[in-house]
Amino acid sequence: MSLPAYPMQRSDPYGIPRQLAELAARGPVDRVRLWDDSTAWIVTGWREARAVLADNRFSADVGRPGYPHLRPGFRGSRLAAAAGGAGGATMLRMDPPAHDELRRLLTGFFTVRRIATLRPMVEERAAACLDAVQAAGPPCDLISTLAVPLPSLVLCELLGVPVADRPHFEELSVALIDSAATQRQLIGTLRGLSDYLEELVTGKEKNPETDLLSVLVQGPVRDGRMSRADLLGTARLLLTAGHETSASMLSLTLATLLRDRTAWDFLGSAPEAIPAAVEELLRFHTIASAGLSRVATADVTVADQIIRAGEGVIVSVEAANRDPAAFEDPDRLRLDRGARHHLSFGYGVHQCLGQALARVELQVAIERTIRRFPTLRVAEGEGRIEFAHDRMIHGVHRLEVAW
Amino acid sequence: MVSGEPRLAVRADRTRCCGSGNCASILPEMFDQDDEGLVVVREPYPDAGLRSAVDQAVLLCPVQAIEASPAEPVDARFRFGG
Repeated sequence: MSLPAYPMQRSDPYGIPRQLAELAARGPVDRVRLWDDSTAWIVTGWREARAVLADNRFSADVGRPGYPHLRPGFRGSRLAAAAGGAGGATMLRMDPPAHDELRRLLTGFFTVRRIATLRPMVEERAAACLDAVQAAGPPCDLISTLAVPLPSLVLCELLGVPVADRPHFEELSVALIDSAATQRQLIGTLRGLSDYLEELVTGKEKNPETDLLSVLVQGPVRDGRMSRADLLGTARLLLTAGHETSASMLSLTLATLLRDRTAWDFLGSAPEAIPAAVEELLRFHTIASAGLSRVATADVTVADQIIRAGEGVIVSVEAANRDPAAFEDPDRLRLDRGARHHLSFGYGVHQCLGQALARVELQVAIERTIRRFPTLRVAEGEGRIEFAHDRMIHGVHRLEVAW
Repeated sequence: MVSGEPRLAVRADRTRCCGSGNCASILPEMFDQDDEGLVVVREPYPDAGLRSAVDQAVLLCPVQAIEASPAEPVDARFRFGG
């Protein structure tokens, strides 16, 4: 019997692909076929997913032979070499100890306490976005007025990126996650990002301010703990990882809450329930729909399967987040579930560095939107919601609302 | 520390810590992060009543940097030793 093809097609925006669910029901570890007819292991169980992601014998290095590439355009090392500058490896694709050394230069910027001090700034940006919603409609598309600009404005502030550059880097980050992008297109996109970041970083070197990139330039880069190439890679990672992810998650959150009036009204009357609701929405929507890829560097046994050194492994975090052994009645969205052990931010040394910021953005956006527009609803008529199934990150293209 | 109450012993391995902040986020009275984002245990011998919250912090830590176990009954030693 031939192996199922991966990635799998999603038909229901509120569920995981049917074929993936079937695969997960058969067992926690299985095999799939990729676009080039190569095969890879797929891990769908929650316990097994954590075991793989926490095990340093699984490498995140895209340049290693056997690493499972999910799109024709994305062959790590060749691509990075062609793109140059900020196109090089980011810590997301590095292994310990190099990964840990680089990450530790950044963790101080993203502590829970430090991010909490950014909440008033996030609230201010959210208010500005909601002013734009008010001015534009009804009807008004919530994706282009709130879900995309909010994380992007917050990032501009954090990284010290001029707000005027937003359209440029937003376009580039969207192009980067296009599932259909060819290698030539991806190289072009990476080069564009690389040129942009080179210019940005040079500016910080000349006129440092108080933003994250300036602090890195004046500290670790100057004293040699961070190379300039790592600085550029880090700038690219922070700019893209912190942008599309939060935007997609916020888009899906808004679509979901507007679909269920009870949820909208409940969170409006009980804002203290929002943080728990955010955790459940993170689990339910698991935007990293392509999964997290690794390659084994040694023979490792996972759930009685021996994964050989050099074999590719895809950890399907969206399947793991619906594992009934870890989450009771997993296909139901229960805003008061109170389960924070989902894998939406990953697990292991690569677990999302910006998770505290993502949580604040989501919490603030939900609270402020409901407070400002308690009667918000999806606008009447056909095609008001268009989901994005054509990306490496699950999301929404358009969500037209009225009030 | 109130004498005789069962306590937990909580340790965190800062060489493993990746600064995810899960512990500081769910149990700020017990865990903090230093300027570099690394875990600091604020209360190494919490009341055993915190067991399930501490267990949650242990479960959520992405790099298994936190360990919790019942503390040695130091108070009992004082009682018997006079």
